[in-house]
Amino acid sequence: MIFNVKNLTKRFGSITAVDNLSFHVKSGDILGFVGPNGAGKTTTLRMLATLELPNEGEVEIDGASIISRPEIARKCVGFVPDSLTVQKDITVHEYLDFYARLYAFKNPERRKLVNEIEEFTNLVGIREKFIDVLSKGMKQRVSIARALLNDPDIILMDEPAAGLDPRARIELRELLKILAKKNKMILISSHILTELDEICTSTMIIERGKLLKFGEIHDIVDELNVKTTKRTVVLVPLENTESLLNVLLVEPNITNVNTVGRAIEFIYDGDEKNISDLVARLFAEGYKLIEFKIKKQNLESVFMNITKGEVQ
Amino acid sequence: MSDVNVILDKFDDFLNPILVKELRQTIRAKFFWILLYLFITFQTIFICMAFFEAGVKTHSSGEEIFSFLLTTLLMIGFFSIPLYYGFRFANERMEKSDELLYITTATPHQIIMGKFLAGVIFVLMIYSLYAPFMSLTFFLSGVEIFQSLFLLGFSFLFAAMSSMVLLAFAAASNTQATKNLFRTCSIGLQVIIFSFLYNYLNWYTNRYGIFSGENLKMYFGFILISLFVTYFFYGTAASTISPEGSNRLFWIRTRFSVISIITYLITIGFFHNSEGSIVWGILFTIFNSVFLLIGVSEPFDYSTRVQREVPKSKLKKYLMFPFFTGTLNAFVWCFIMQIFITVLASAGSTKLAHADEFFLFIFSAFLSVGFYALLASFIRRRFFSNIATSSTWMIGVIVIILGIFFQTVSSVFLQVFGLAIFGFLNPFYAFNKGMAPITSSLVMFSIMMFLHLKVFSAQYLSYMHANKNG
Repeated sequence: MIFNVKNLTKRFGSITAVDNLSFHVKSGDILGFVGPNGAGKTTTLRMLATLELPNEGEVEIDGASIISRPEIARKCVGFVPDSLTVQKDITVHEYLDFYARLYAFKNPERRKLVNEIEEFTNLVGIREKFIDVLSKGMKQRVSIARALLNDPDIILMDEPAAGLDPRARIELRELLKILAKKNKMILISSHILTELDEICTSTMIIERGKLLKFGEIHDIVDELNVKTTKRTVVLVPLENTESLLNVLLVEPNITNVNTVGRAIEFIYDGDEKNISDLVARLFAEGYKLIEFKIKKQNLESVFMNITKGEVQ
Repeated sequence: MSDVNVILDKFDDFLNPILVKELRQTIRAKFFWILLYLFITFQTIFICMAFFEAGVKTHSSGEEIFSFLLTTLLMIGFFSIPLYYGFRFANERMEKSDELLYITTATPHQIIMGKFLAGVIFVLMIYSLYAPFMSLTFFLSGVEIFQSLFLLGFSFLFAAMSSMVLLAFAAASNTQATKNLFRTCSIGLQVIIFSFLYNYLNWYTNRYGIFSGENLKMYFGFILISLFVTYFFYGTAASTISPEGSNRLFWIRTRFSVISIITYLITIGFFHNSEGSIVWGILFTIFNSVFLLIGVSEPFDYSTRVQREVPKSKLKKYLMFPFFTGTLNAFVWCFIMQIFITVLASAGSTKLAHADEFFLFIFSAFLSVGFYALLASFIRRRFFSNIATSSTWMIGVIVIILGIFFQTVSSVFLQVFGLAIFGFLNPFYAFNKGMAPITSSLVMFSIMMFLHLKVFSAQYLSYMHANKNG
């Protein structure tokens, strides 16, 4: 299955929330959707879920337009919003049963399906609890369970890890990995870049509604490494940290010098040969180093390099 | 699995999902239990007091008690429960907590029907609780059991209608401002309908008794009206919550056209007099004028979803044109409807002197609102392009209020300088023969149409070219 987005544009009055966005995702992919606040991530996901109508552009699932035929999306797209909306006086089981009914599942299949989903998302223990008293993490799990009811091939998740504690985040990550193994296509927007870095196969960075980068994370990192001469270097001296710090501060190609525990971290503007020359010089001056490394570019550094933090 | 379980499962599958959820939530809500206990307590106390009183005052106290209980019941069925469900739905719409429903395979009609049935079942529960107490009034020389059941059923229909009207208002409440506005409007409308209904019923029953030939006619008329209103608002609510970019107005326009013919035939068939026809003409002109304001709040272009539904054959394209969502389509439909209303109402009121002149003024009022609607559209496009097209009706209402205000102020000049021309700014003056010349509203409307010529012709061409290749 291929999810193809072409020239997607959404305007709210004079503001262009999403500007000519194009990308494609295939089954088994986990696409990380990254951008600063107000970048247009939620609007894009809502358009893909057919909750908003784009002003221009096309969204196709295996060549069929879901803009003109939203009923196609209803069958194969599951949407997890950033928070579960207020649901008073209803238990987890009743809530899932309600959505299973809306998807026209009949008994006894419906009963079986709801039980399976509850087991899969680890909700069995809280199935009789009222939704409005659940923690944020539990609510998020209920929301994911609801989105999985119609066994969608495409799952859209808007900030699913926001507000979750570390345990809930790890559980969410594991759940996403299982879903990807089941050949589901997952589009996930998140601010927690380290999370995305570990689970996403590809990423898309947008700012002010415009696509800045799209592709597999290592390709983007490699591309960025070729383009930039700035590298983050970490040195851990055995002794004389203060003295080394003073030396580095006056070096011409070094900026952003920081100490993190015993380590000194800085940005060096130059190629790998220049860095090795610097290290050799430090050894020659009598500094004893127990650790030296050039930090690998990750999604976080890519994000910081590409975006400007502008909002609209 | 036993046969009983299979049957229960089948029944469970048959139930509307929204109804199941709403009822589950209702029976857990405080409102439900408070209302229920208050009711039972109130009835018990009241009936006990009535029986005690009956020992003193022996004749026909049952009728008074019945009448009092029915009024209380109608007030709760007509106000409290519809308001509870209406406000709940309005909150859901505003907070967008209902939007996940629209990405399931459930249809908008199914969603509205579920919410409506939940309200109706709640009303039914209260009614069934009330029925035994009311039938006790029979023992106090009250109303016959059959009559009391009939009146209960009759009032129940209006409670159901009220539930649907409030749901329709709630469906349109997608912002805090519209929520507050529609809440006020719906409460106001409920008060007006209730007062009218209550006074009318009182007047009839005092004059003719509960059952008489005259009353049956009246009951039949009211039952039909309540059914039409419920059905129409059901479709309106469903169309309102339909996905953005769909052909939302299609259902409303086709049904409204049919309902207008049926109600006309019933009016003519029942009343056999010109007044009935005139009342019908005025009512439908008011509805049609409201549609003009809705019309300018529709888009000037067609979404891909709407384009897909445009017929391919040229003849069908022309025939279906007035029923499609779009500003020009709305204006064409309203214009055809107004000619139709005016002709039919005139035909039904031939015995009335100056009827033809009266209907020309009705048409003039319609044109006057048409002018304001187009003016609002012009103002939005020219000066407030940030405002969504769907909000043009709000500008329309403001412009009409300003027009009336300006007219009122200018009436001072009218006295001083004799400037009768300012009268045309008030659409209601169109009903006044002396104040609003028909030509002035026609001229104002034509000027606005001229200003919209470019966008309208572009919309027409866009419709004709839509779905050419399927």
